[in-house]
Amino acid sequence: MTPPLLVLEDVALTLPSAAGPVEILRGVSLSAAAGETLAVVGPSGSGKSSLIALASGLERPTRGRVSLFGQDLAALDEDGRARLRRGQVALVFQSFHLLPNMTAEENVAAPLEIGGTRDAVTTARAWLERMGLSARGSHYPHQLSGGEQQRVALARALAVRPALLFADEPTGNLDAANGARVSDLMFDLVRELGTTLVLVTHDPALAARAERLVRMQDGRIVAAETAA
Amino acid sequence: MPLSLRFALRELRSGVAGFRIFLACLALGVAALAAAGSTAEAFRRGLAAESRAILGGDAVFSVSQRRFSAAERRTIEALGPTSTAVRGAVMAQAPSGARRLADLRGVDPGYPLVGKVELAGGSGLEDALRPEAGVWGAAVEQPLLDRLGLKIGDGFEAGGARFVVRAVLVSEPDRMGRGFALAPRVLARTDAVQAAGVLAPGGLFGESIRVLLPAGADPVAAINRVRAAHPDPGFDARDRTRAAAGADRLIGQLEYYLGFIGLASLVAGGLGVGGAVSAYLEGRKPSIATLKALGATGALVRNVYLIQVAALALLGVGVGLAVGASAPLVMGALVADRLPIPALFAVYPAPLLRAALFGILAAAAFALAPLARARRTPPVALFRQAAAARPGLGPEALGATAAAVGLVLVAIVTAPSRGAAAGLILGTAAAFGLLWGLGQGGARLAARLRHGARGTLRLGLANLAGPRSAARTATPAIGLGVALLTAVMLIQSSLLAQIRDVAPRTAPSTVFTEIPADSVPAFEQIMDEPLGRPGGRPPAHRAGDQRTDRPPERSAGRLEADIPRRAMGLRRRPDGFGLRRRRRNGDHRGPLVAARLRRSAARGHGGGGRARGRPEGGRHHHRGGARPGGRRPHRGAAARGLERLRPQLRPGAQQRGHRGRQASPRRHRPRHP
Repeated sequence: MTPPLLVLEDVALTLPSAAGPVEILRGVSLSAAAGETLAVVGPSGSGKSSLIALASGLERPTRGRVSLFGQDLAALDEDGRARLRRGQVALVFQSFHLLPNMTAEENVAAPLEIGGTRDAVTTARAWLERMGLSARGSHYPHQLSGGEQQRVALARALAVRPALLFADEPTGNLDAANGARVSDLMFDLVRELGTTLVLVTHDPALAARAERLVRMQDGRIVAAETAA
Repeated sequence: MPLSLRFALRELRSGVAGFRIFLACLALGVAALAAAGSTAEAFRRGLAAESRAILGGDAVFSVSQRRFSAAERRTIEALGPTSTAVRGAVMAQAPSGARRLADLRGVDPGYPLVGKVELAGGSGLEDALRPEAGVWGAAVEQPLLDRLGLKIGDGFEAGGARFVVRAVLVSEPDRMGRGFALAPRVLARTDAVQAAGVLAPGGLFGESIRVLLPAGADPVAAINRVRAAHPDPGFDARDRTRAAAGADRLIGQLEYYLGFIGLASLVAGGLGVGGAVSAYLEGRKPSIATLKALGATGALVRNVYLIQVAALALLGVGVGLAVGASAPLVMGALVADRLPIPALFAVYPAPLLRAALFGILAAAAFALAPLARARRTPPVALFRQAAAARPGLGPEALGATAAAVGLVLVAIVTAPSRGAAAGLILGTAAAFGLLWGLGQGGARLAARLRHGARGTLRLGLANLAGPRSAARTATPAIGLGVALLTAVMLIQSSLLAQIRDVAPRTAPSTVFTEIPADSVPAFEQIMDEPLGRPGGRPPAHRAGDQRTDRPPERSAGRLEADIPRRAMGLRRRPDGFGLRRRRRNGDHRGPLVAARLRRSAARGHGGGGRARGRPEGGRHHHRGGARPGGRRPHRGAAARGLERLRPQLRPGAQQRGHRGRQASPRRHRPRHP
């Protein structure tokens, strides 16, 4: 049995504020295996996005242990975690977070260039074509619709063929039609690539497409389900 | 192409919209520095190119109140071709009776050694100065002709000699090298000045000998040879590298003043540079966090924005250099013909490089520290906008510190006065620290006051107290800008006062000379009446112990070569009033220059001779004759006094008056005639 790609052990996150410390996560334990699709659901403020931030190495927990690919993230500084993410971990955000001064093609090529891939532009063009955006490669994000921007973001995430994809409300800012299109692309491509997907969503229908589901409330996992 | 450069070029596609202030701050400061340096260099080059003509030769030797001895003359003439000139002040009198003070200069046929005398009318210098039938030919400056109501062909008297105006004197090639003149100039032959009675021993005149050295000869070495031959010379010597030392100093001061404006602009603008970079990076926070989420390290992200800032800084510096280099060219094209100092307007690399160095160091000092934000912005800012940058010093702070230290050192090393530059920088740092403290204090005060406030006042106080309060940045920026502007205005006022007040406050308004010793008490009594001096006042001047049959005293005091900043004032001595001297120009060996009232009467000198003395008219320590109580004596008082005194004076006593309000400084001693 292959070890899980992602392991969270009793992870807690407490943030300072003017009104005193705020506990965002209170002892969360979670793991995800290779090729698995995991949905994280819960009300707003339950800590879902913070869970993604800790799991992807964007932030350090206040307590507990996070390991990616067997590597304890506590042993790495911010640059070390960034290097670990290269080519292995990708993120898709609710607000797309495309680089505004780069074209769609350059956005998709960016993580490939950071990872040192030689044919980054060629690879980027191919992925834009798979997303149906080959004619939009030279356009800037502000020239694209919301759905097109999210498809560019998905292409950017998957172009590096990551082992782990974190998606934080990927359809949250899209209408139903675009949301369905992005969801279909995402699930189809992660299955094709064998990428582990950790998906945060409010959409029950989208969550139902995952193999496993965890429910969060008040910074804790209150339920874990396996898809029927 | 390196990845950071590739990403930086893409980021620059957004244009420079957020960097207009950044560019303006840098460009203005660099432009001011470049323009100041280029203009000063243009004047220096002009002076250097004309130095031989300005000086009138390769070296000039001058003496005061005596003529060169035969031995001295032989030594100097052995160096090369020479030209001799003498000079003194006389009263020129027109046939109509109009009288004006004139600066009478006598030259030999070898004059000028370099350059050309420009005349209007007449048929050349030789013809203009030719004596005929006991009348000396003269070239006279137009202002004197206007004041005396004369024209070419008219005659006038000066010092008992008769002259005829044969030409209008427009310019002399060595005019600037002799400094300012007290009165309009009359150019004649040396013998004419002799005939005017100016060259009597102990009188206020000077003689100079200009020398043309062989090609390649070192003027300093030539001067040293003459000094070695005459160890106790009592003469001044100057070579062409100091042809117009006063103008050189003025140019240096103006350059420093203008450069100070540029430096002040850069320092004040540096806050704008830092603010612009901080604001830009704050707006780029999502992009920075995204790049880090995609796997970019902090150094890579920092370099992306460092390249952008560096490119924009070079653009700002480049714009500043272009403006600063072209401003003197434009000025030269417009006013070159009207400049009193020769200038060679061109593009000079040295001042531009210096300005560029200042600009780059200032940009680095103020922009590097905010760039640390790019490296320290956490990628979790994609989820939490308020996520704070990681604290701590890094290479950016070290770089900024090194650049700031470099800026300070360069500013001090290149300043004419290093102490003043260091003081300026320390004062600026202290002012900034104080203003920063005031800003912090103001924000805290607003935080305390807002709880008791209501409505818009509360909103305003809350904004002032908030984390992004403008109080913390605006207070030091505005305060420092005002402080530097105030400093600039104060320096400007001082410079203008210095230039304007070359006629010193203590200069007399009227000068009486050659008053016989035994007439002095009567003269003083007569002058006391209209000017209302209190009884029992000590003598106006301390006399040098001079005898007519002895060379004048040599003084340890040394004076300005060309443009005296203050004339001699008076200081109280136990035996009366003495003369205050400024000690400048180490090669001055001449005697005191100033008015002197001989005490030869009291000491029994000059009983049968012709003593010379020159009490100052009015209250001598007040310019223009103003009295301590502020009441000015009537302008005609001195003239009326002379009229009453004249019957009691022996022939030859002269009034040499000048208006105390003349812009030219009073020259108490003819120098480098």
